[in-house]
Amino acid sequence: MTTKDQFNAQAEKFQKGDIHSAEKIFDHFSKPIYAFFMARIRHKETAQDLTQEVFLKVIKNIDQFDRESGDFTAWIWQIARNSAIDYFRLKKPSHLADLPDEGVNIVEEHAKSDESAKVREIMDIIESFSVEERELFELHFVADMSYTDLARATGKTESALRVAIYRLRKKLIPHLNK
Amino acid sequence: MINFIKEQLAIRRLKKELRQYAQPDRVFLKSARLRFITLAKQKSGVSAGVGHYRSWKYATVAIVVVLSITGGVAGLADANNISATNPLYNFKRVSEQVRMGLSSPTKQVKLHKVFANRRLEEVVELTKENQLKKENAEDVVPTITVLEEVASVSIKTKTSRSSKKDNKNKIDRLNSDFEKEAEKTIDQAEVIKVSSEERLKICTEIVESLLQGPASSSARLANRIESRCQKIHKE
Repeated sequence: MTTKDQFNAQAEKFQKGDIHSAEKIFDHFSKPIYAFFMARIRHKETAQDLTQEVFLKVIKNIDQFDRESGDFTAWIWQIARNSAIDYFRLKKPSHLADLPDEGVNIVEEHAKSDESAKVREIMDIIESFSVEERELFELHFVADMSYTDLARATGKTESALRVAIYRLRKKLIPHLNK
Repeated sequence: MINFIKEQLAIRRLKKELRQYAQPDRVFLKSARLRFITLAKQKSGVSAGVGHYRSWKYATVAIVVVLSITGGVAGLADANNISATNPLYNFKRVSEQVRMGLSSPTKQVKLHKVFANRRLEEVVELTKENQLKKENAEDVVPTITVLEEVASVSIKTKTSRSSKKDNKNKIDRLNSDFEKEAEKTIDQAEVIKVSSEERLKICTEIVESLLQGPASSSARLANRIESRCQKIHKE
């Protein structure tokens, strides 16, 4: 059972034009959302663009937020997830002719050069995990979200999340001790 | 146990590295925040406009509701011809003013007459009430002999005195209103040039009403109006 989301009230104030609440929302969510995009896309500039896009969508759609339909934390994370999905959908080449000649994305390779060897190795391993595990890793290990916020964002119970993260740790440890 | 500690340390190290890796630039955060707040301010400006419109809408509805209730109460007080001691008396007077404002000059003569009669009735009623209170007070005072009750009696007589004073003021005010209404009836009759028979009838009725009222000022006013009536009749 998660406690009441304090950002519901902030969002309602923001709907009424309270800029102070908008600032609070940005300060709380900007870093984890950026980290989530960094973990998923592994490209700094794209992560920055997508983070800005999420907050633009928040401004555009804040009037549609209804606390009766769910918490604000879940709402904003759904926007972030959808942005990532849209990014991959648009990025996917629609014709074979659009594929790079060498089959390697040069931009991504350049971005990955920013990663430390350890991080790169773990990120590559994570890509082989299930979608659910990957998302948990992105939100808990990279975006550093608490179990309470995770529960709100994913719609799962805290106890279920603890079990899932424990399993994920067990899966990661053999790779860390190499 | 050692393995467990090693695992924990490895996870902690990983988390630290990942956090550093996923740390946004300060410059980016600052500019993104500024952009977000600017756009939020722009949007709230638009919302404030909408809110302003909504508040006007609510204010209009509230004003309409208040006016309807006031109008209803005033109409009810007027229709029932409530007494001067009733708390809704002022509503009745407002309703009378509105009726007067909305009537034609011919109708206004009749209304002045009706209102003059109403004031007279009110004066009579209040005077009766005053006399009744005076009699009651005279009955009560001699019966009180016990010393302990002196304090409460003084309060009672004080209250009764102040209420009597209030009533006296009210009667004076109503008397002056009655006189004004009576004079206005004649004024209006002159202005709209009603037939001489009609005018004479109005005059007689007013003078009769005045003579029914409490002595002093009414008699003086009756004389004045009678002389005016005779003058109009001669013309």
